[in-house]
Amino acid sequence: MPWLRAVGSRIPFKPLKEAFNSSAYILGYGTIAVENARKGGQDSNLMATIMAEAEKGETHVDDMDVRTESTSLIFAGSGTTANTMTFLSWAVISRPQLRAALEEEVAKLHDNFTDADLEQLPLLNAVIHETLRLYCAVPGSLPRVVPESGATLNGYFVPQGTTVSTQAYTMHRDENLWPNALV
Amino acid sequence: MRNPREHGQRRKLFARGFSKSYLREHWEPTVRRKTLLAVEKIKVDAQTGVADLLKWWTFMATDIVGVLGFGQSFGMLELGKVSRSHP
Repeated sequence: MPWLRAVGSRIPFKPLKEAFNSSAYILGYGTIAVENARKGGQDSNLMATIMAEAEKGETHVDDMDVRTESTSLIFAGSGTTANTMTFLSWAVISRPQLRAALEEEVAKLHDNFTDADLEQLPLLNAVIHETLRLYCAVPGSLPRVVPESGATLNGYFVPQGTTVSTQAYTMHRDENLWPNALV
Repeated sequence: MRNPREHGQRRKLFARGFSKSYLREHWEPTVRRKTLLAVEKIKVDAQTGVADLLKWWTFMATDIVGVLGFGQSFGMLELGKVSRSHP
């Protein structure tokens, strides 16, 4: 809603002003990403990697693309991780038995363990998956468009071009899929 | 972006930088360093009172994404508060 933005960004109340101008602020960081990528070469940040890939092929990526993509990265990569980590910590700490079992599992790791080693731990990975199931950081709808000729889902015909979406919150609590879904 | 061809091209650009092997090779030490620092900070707070997990995990994730996405950390873990500047 552009009008809301136009009005909102002019209200002289600092937190509100910051919220309305946050995308411009983060877009400014996108500009830094472009500069750093130019300076530091293809492995200096993920945007640089993408720009290097683009130069190899025929796909064109301009500075604005890099700025918006890096802006998406910070939105998508900060709150989601922090939220998930917080729920995970709480879920483990509030279950003493689980906590003890998890501590026992990670205690077996050698000192210089790597990400690849962590991937092999069954309980740790189960804890991560269950956290994502119950406290999914983006449980809302992810809209998609029904392709040409439509689709029949669960006996219902949905015509082409219709916007449809599923959302994780109820699906992740469906007792048909997850017995004792809330535990 | 809803055009499947355009999306496919963009997706391809991301493939190398976001592959597991690339991320591990280039960024695992960075992520590890920031994670250890976050755990240290939480430990200090917890031992002297209450640790705000959401705060520290947010600083950790934001600093990591700053390095990976922008090539610069926001330095929030070191500062212990929200930072608007960059080093």
